[in-house]
Amino acid sequence: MVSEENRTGLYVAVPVYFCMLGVATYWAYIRMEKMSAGGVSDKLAAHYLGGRDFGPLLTAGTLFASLFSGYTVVGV
Amino acid sequence: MITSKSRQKLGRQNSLTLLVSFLQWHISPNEAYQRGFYSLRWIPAVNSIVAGYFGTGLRLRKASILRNHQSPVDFITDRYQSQILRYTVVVLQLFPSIIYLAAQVIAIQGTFNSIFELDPDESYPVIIIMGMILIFEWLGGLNSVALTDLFQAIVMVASFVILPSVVVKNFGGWTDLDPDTFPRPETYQTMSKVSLVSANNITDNNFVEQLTELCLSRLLPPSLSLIEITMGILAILFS
Repeated sequence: MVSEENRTGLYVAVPVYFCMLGVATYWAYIRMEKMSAGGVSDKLAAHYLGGRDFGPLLTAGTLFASLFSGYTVVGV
Repeated sequence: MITSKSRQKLGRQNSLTLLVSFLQWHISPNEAYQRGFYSLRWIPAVNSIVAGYFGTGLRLRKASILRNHQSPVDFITDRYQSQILRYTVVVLQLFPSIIYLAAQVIAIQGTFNSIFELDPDESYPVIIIMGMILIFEWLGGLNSVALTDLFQAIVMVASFVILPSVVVKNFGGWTDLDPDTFPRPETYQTMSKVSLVSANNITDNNFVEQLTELCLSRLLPPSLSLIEITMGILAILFS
């Protein structure tokens, strides 16, 4: 059971979190549009592979989040 | 064409990937809590996977750039020229993915309904969240997935770092534990206890019986059962 005080925190934190994800998506959309300015193959690569051009921080961050998400599902 | 600059970038990416893998085997909290030293098995397991990645990942990336592969399935088709193999691999990839995604949807439903005290079977919040995820991925593709993942990773790392401070602030540290409720154990339940038992009793004729009794009484955590069995066999052989 979440206390009243903590629930207020959740009502703030969860929408803020989703807004941040929305900002990240907008940034990703702009990035993808720039990448897919070329032909059809470039569009596919931009959408499905992120233009094959992720930096080290992005690669490590996505790997970290994916692994721990998997751990949570499996329960280790 | 793989240039020296892209090689250097790949090297930096792999360094951070290796660092994440290093952290990954270090932290498998649930198993470490429940099974103690048994969770050390993640070290060779994950290092084998990382070694496998270094053996295949770099070459696969090089091949994918040169041959314009969009997915691992493209590589399989290109390499083996078999449509049957292609669709077999697709099915083998899809089947576990569907189970994994279904588990995540149910987990989100459980977590969200629980923290907002909704009916556990309520489905509209999870449908809204799934809709948002679909829109995010449709708009941004893998860029969106990676960026939102990065944001999640930052939140997770910050939580790991902040959590001990919050616990100490709200509940106190080790010194605030009530010694009557949480008595300090005589010996921590680690491998050293087995070493102590064996060192004291190895010459005793009843060692195996004593060790079995000890295991049955569950004084030692189940994580040490392999060591106990090995020591039992050794004791029988040398007795």
